[in-house]
Amino acid sequence: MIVTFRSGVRDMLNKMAKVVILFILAAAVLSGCGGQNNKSGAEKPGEKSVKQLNVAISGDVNNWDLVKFPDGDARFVWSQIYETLVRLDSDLKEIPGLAVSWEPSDGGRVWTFKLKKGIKFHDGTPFNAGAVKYSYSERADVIKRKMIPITEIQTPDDYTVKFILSRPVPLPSYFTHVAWPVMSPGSVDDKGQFKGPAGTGPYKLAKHLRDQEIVLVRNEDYHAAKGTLDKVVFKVIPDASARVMALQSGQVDMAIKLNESDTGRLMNDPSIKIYRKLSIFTDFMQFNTKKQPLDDVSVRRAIALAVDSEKIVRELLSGIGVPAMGRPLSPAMKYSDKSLQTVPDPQKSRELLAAAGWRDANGDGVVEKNGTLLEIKALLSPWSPREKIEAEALQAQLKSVGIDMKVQLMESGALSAAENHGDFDVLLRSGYLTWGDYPHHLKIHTSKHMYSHWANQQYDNLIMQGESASLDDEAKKKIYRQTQQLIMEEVPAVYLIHEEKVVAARNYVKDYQITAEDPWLNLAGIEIEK
Amino acid sequence: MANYIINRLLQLIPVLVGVSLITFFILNLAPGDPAELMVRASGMEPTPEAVASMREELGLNYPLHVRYCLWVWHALHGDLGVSYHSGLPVARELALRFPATLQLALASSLFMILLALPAGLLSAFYNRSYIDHLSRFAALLGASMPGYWLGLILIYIFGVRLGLLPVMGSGTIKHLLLPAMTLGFGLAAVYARLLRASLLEVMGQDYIKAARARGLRERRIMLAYAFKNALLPVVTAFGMSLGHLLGGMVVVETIFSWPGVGRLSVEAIFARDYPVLQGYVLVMALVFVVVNLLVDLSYVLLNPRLRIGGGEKR
Repeated sequence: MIVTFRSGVRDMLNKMAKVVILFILAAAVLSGCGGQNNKSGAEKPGEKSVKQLNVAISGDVNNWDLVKFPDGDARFVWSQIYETLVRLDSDLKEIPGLAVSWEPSDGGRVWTFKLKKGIKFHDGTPFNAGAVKYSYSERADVIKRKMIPITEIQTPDDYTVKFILSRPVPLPSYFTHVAWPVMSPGSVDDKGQFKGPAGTGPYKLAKHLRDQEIVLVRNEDYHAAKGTLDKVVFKVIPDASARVMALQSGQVDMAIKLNESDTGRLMNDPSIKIYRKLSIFTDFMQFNTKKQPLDDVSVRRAIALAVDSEKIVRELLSGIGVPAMGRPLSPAMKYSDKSLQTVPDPQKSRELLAAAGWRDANGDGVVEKNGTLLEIKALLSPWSPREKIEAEALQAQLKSVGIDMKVQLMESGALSAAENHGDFDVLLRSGYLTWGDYPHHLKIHTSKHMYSHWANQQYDNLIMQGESASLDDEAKKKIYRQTQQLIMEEVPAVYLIHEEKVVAARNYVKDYQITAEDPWLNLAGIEIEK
Repeated sequence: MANYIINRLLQLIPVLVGVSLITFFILNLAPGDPAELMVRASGMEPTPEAVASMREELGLNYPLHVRYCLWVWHALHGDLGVSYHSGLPVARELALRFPATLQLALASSLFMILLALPAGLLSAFYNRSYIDHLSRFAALLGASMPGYWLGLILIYIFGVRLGLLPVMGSGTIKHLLLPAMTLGFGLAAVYARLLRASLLEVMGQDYIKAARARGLRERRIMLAYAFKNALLPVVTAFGMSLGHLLGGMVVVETIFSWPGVGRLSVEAIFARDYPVLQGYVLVMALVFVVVNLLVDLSYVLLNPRLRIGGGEKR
């Protein structure tokens, strides 16, 4: 009898052992097939001389071809591989990129670009007018969607390109956008299939592991000052806290897109250096002026006066960011005017509301008019922790003048549907039509614009005048000052905080220059001294 | 037996059709137009022309039923479509990430087994003793700690403070440890208690009394007689858990930068990347059916009475 027990136990243990061994084997086999990628770590002793920078980014490169827009952090990677005709310097002034010079004619409807000579793409194809024409052909997303109104591209000679437009736009500013670079015509094969990225940038793609890492190596034939790094590895780490810990543990040397609270904490870490630069993006609350109660300009003005953005930055955002005080354009941008500001004044805000008939009759802290409480619904997407902090702070500040703002987080699909149906009072957003130093952003308040929830003929006229290429800079400055003033008086939106771009790096990363230019990641001249 | 398996596999067909039909139509009920979202993601204005050209490119200009039929037609030919977001074939997107998810699912299951089996056995054997209480406390802890929190704490301790393990990425066994522990701990909590309860129930049955009457030692009775029978409910539940694990562990994959299907599917949901979601749901339905079939087959190993079709008929 005992023998059978023992054999029973043994049998069962055997079976269990088999199952366990099977699991281990399966895991080992799979870890083998998932893991051809471990050569990138700096652990290999033989590779010590390799100068490698590991950068933590939040999302993978969704696409390398200009037929689709590179979204999220893809653009940081694109900016190392591809280059544009026009670049921006650290003060966001337009400077030559792949083009040496450019000039408008016919009132800004025709733009002629002279190209730099002797440049080769990563695949060996020479850079010339044909490549530019190819990059801005119907294949390109930006042309297909009619975002740049190009009707024809002429190539009088190998190094001259002429763009004919259907309406005047400041074309060089569009050509600074990192998502609209010049690509090699050799990027696609005979069947039109994309082969791989071939740009003119200081680094070229060596390996791309989806959702894991992107390995770039130096372009030895670069046409300007060569890259100082042998290798740049972008590591995809979606979670902001995990990016911080990867930096603290030394698994990456540099991290971008950090939360304000984490950045505040990292400032006290002696092994980490924080680089900050005022960016071109500004957070704002946009009003639905086509619907009660925000169709009343007094209520909008009262909100503008109740908001204290300085307090939000100081108390809730670790001092990161610059209070906008209602000013639409970040000082990093052209035509920004620091003298424009709305000084917070809750008392005046209350008076404005009272004059417009909003009073707190029943003493519940919320004002009312004709029996309707002053309640507004604010929508924001859950992606920006900063916006969420701002929303909660705004809620409290508005409450103090008797406005009850409900905050609702919505994912982007539902949010855009709500916006299209006008089912909101306030949208909390950041940026929008913002790239380079040119105030494209101001267009979103023109009455016909998809993102506009306001209509003002005077404003529309001003924006139209500003677009014209025949104006000199002084005249433009005047016009854009007027448009900003109009926004601050009529309040289709309250501008809250000018974002500060933050990059954190280990302190052995030397000579890094952070630029306001976003999403370009300036790695020129960077050194690693471990 | 072979007939049974074929039968079960044939049942897959209505399941897959039903699942794909439901997802297809429910996805389209969700607010938000993928074409518009894609234009918006470009930071540009979603003008009607831009959205229309995008919609045409994505094939969204056809009516819903036509799109479904087209999708089925292509799917039958092995073509799951192209991701709106990356422009890559969906099948490739899934195939790239599934091994990572499978690896993590197996590793966390292994970790769970290593933790839950001894804990369950010991707490049943020493029922109501301090070991039992300790295991109950650990289970309560494991079940109530959210995965993202535990994950971040583990990263902080082992990655940042001690510097023993990598905090992100995949590739080696070392990379696997932290995410597998994070997932396995929560699971082990549940399974240890489940196994204990199941063991105690079996231990009260007549054949166990008979074994006791024969003077066998308690330990032998539990391991040789009760354990195998007590495993049945545990294995059933495990089948479901494995399915869920393979469906992707979004939170853990995000925290540990693990390149699995969970992250892919969630990103696809937010981008309204219909083809990826359709493909994902289809593959997951397949995984669930297959895992459940395997679980059912494993019953036979555990309990010969459940042998299908064989044996004499009564």
